[in-house]
Amino acid sequence: MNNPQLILTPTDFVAITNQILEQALGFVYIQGELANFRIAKNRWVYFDIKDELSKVSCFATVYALPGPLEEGMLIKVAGQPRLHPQFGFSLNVQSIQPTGEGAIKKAFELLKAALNTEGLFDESRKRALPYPPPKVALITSTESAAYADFVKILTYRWPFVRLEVYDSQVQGEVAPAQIIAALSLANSGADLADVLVITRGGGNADDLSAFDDERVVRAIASSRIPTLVAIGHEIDESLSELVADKRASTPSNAAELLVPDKINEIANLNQLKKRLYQNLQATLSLEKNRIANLRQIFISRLDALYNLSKSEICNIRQLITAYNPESVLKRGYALVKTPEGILQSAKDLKVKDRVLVELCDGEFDASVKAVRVKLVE
Amino acid sequence: MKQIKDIDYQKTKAELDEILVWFERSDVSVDDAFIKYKKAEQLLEQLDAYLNDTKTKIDQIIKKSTKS
Repeated sequence: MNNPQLILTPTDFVAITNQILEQALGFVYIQGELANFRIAKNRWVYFDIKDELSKVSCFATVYALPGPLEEGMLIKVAGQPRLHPQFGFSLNVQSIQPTGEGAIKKAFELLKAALNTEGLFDESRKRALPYPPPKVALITSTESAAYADFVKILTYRWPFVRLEVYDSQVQGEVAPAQIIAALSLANSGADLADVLVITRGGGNADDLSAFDDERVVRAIASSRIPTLVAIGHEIDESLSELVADKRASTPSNAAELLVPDKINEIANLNQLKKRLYQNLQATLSLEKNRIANLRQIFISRLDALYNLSKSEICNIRQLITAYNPESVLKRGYALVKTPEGILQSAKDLKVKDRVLVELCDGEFDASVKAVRVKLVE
Repeated sequence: MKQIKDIDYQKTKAELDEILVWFERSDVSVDDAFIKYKKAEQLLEQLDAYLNDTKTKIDQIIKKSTKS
């Protein structure tokens, strides 16, 4: 290039420099302290990354931000060095990650406070998970132990569940983008899962940082499918878990929370069946007793009615028997008949009248010799 | 047995009650009394038979309910 005959225009120089930068460096990773951080028009992000001796100007879009950042934080950026035709040299940053214990914690606390103010962690936003869900979407790394644990426990406890797996890196720079893409894919289409599980096993703060990335947290918050998030161990608290509809302490715990244990369910059902059978038996027995009592009441009433009727008929029989004319004759009385009929008064007789006298066992003709009429007062 | 099935207990008893009322009158003729008495006896037989049949049925029901 050391050729005095070769005179370049500024545009040519910028183009050649960028070509050389791309060939020589390509994508670079720089770790340093964040300085001069500012956001323009809510879209463009400008900052410097520096150490004791040097500083590099950086440019990014807000979409590359993992969350709120503060001056002095230790960050790791990935990007391409570029010479801008008007603004000079800068690093076109694709990803920014807080790094180091202090910076990660600080970034975490800042984002947590901001999201909390927005109400993203409110209990009122939490949706109930269907239990057990017929279909589960799982976002995790299929090479991880967390994946193996989750699937093993889930299918052992409840083999009827349909599992749809979205393989994604769960740590490193590409993890947030892959998790967001998986969330987007799981939330598209007609046959949506009933629950979306995002999980990974334990690790250090840097390993788990993808789940504190603002973009990931917001993607989980806007999931149409209710979410269950289990990141790391019991003591780890990620923002993804806070924003999820439900949190599990570990991948295994996520599987346990998601579905019942088939063996327990069968035992419970058998217990329930037994109780139902006992209740049915008790109800039947009660009803049977009630019917038996009713029958006894009806029989008693029927019997009483019979006895009443019988005694009534018996009384009538006695009365009728008393009225029987033959029984009067049997007691020694006689019927006296004239051609006009039964004689009822001595006044109707004259001397020498002929009468027929009827007794209980026969009759005879008689002639009247005298008539004596009683004087009745 | 045909007689038992055919009779109407209430109607038969009402007829018997009428005869009883007739007997309680003061102007009863002895000739009619014989006829009425015979009729009353016939009705009483029918009612007795009916009630005996009823008793048998009640006994059967009791026996059945004791078994169950």
